[in-house]
Amino acid sequence: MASKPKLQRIDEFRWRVPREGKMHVPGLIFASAAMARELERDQSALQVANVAELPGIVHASLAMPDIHSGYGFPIGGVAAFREDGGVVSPGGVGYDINCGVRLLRSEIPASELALRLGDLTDRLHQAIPSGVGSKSHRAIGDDELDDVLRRGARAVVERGYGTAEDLAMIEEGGCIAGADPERVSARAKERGRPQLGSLGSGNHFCEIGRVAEIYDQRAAAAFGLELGQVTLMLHSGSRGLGYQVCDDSLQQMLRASAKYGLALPDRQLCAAPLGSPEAEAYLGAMAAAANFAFANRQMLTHFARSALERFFGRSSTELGLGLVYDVCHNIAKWEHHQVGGKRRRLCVHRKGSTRALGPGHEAVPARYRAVGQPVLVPGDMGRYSFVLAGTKEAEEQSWASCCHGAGRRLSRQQAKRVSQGRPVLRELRDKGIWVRSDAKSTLLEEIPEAYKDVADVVDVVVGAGLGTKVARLEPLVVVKG
Amino acid sequence: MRGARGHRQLDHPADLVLELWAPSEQELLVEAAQALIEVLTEGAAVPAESERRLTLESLDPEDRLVRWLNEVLVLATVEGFVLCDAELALRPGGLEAVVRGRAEAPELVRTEVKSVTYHGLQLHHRAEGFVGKVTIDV
Repeated sequence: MASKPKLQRIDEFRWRVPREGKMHVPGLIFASAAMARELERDQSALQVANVAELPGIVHASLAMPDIHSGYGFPIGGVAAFREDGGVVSPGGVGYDINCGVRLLRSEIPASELALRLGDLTDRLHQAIPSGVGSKSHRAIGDDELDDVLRRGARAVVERGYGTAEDLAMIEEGGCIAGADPERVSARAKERGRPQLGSLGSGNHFCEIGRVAEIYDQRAAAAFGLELGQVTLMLHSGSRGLGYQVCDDSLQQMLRASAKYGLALPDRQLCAAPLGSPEAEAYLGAMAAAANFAFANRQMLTHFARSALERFFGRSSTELGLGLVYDVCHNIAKWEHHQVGGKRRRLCVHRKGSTRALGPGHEAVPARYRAVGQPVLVPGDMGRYSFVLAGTKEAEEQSWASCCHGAGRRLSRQQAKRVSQGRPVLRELRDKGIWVRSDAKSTLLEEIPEAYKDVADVVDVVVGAGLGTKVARLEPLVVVKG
Repeated sequence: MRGARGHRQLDHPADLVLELWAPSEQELLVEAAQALIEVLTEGAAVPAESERRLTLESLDPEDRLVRWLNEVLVLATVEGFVLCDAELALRPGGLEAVVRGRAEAPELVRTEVKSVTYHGLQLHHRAEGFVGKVTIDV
């Protein structure tokens, strides 16, 4: 399909991309009427249609309301493929493999931070290696890197960066099965080795916030969230290692696509049949990169906890700095879902989407099982973020997937034009938010109005039944890369 | 009127698109590399102090453009070698290059680029020369 598809309204929150041409299934976009109109301006609906052309796709090519134009898959795209006859595509995961978010709770009341935010900003900024090409505080050798690639967060927890309780609160326990360090190129390892335990740049951040509103007392209590409490949120991924794994795999997948006769609507959608050597190689390398990202967020958590311990003069345990949850945003994973009343093993691609398991699911930690998996939806640095809970309806409608953030409204260049010459830091400070970044261009690109209002995105997923609102968090201190 | 060789940055909702034009394919590849370095360094001047040789394999001319730029990117971000100019010999299935620039200069890199992508990739031979378009994930 080459021309932009016409969206058909199904109901208030659902839009169909009709099946045409080589599409195997229709597209289904979760969006409000206003968002659907916006979609007509960019390429993302066409990208939803393109994904529907990949072999073995089940039910529909899906997109979340924070959809925007990506590479191959749209950002916000979700697609599941049959084990037999389906494909895996690096374009369905993206460059920043297992870019994701984690949230920590605390027993610190936000009132304790009054008049101390500037000092806390400095401490966090010193503690968290951030910015372009940022390198970790700690150098690691080949054996340790391979261990991280194989075992993910557990490999660094066993080296003192966190606790066993943390592991239980990470998607997949902080380790995607089937990781194979042998499939990760020497160049990818070289790019990643100095970066384990670094934030990176762009939209990655470390944020101290406060719980500003509770919508669901029972779920909030299960997640350990209370009104007025200080929280910590981290957004980072697999750094240069993941970018290189994606790059390497695209080269292999372009060959594989030709070898297996896959007609590609877009080169970035190159893919290989599940079960083929090329697919196995990619899944092994991608899982290794995903594990690197879990370990990276775990180390960043340790650095942040240490900084808060020094700042408050109390231990992490006394401060109650427990991990609420850690979710992947960019991943392809084997998962079991119901298809036509039968439990099937599917390769689920989420590119800018969050898994959102409902109450009772066995993969939800016991502590949360009665209310559903925590779904973390960060907004921009000037407004708010949401904590949602996954639902049974998400399991039925979207392969248990939900939105992942606000989605950009302005391009980086537009944002720079809008913010050039403006005292961005002062504007945020006037709202009570302390922001620190070594890169002025990052601040200009990341101004709040560069993003959609995440509340609009959340309204759609809640309206469509993909999640339920639990709490709203407001930023106090933001360290940007 | 635009000159015989050049580039400009186009808006993209999330990232950056480079539009390129040059009389020959070699020149277009060099122009693309310089445009990428301009993004990475935010326009800092890079002196031609050192030289490197590199070779790469590719599937076709479009793939060659992407792989070449990703080599230039890794050279800058991993090895700290920031290019200012290059001489290229194109051959079917790849290229050989002599690149000039500043070695051990990671501090020149001020913008993080994840990769140069195949998304919306274009490379065409027109009557007036070569034109291309590449999308960069930043």
